[in-house]
Amino acid sequence: MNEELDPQLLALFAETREPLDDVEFLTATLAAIERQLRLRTRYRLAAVAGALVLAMLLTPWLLNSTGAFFYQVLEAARWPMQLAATPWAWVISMPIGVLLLYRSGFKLRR
Amino acid sequence: MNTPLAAGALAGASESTVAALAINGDHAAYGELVRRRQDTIRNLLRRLSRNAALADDLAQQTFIRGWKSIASLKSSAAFGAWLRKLAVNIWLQHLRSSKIELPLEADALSTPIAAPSTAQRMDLDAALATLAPETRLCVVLAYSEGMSHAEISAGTAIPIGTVKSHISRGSARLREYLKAYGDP
Repeated sequence: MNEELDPQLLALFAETREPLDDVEFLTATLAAIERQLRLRTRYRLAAVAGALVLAMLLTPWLLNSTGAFFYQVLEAARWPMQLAATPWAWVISMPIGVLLLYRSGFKLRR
Repeated sequence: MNTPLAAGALAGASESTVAALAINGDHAAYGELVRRRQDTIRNLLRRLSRNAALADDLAQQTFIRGWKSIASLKSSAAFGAWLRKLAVNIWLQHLRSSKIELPLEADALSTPIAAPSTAQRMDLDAALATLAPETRLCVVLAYSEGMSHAEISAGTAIPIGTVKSHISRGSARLREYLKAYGDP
């Protein structure tokens, strides 16, 4: 509560506070809230339906694109994979592997 | 899953309990809060807007916005203050959107008080009408809602020094205005 308020004005504010008829206001406000609730439910349903339709439309394209991408990746990786299966690849990869193991072991000891 | 309470049980419950139920999505509980708070919010907005129809419209907006955002309310005990802040924000938004120019306090105070006709019934609302909107807001929140300077400052984003000055000058203005009619 404020300490610097005029007591006469305070009394006047309290006296002139009018009791208001609540029935009409309550009915209108609760009806408006009910409308908002229905509207929100409709929006949510519409959003779910929209997402489903979008998913149905996009899924074939998405699957095709993903399949094509992985096919390209596999195609691009075929030559290095074939190379990796040769003795030369083993000769090169073994020292690299040993070096990596040595380094990680060295770090663990410290 | 919370089970909605019967209307009778809601009417007998404390506001904090009802607010807690409303926060958890109980629409009947929110309806009960509207029933309990409508008088306070409508009176506050009537004081601020000086227009019963507009005040009821803004009060309805307050309760609808409150219903939409009540889930974000942290403490059910703070419901009353939270709703009042919402009402004040809605009124300030209305002022901005309706492009009502907020006169500077000095300008408002320097304006001579219009002499009312003898037939005119002088009342507090007429006296409040002579105050600049920001001053009126501070005066109404202090006198009608019993809010402290700090609470008004926090609720309206007006610096506390300005709030004090608005209340002090607003009170003087109201006294001066009402003195002419031998009211307070």
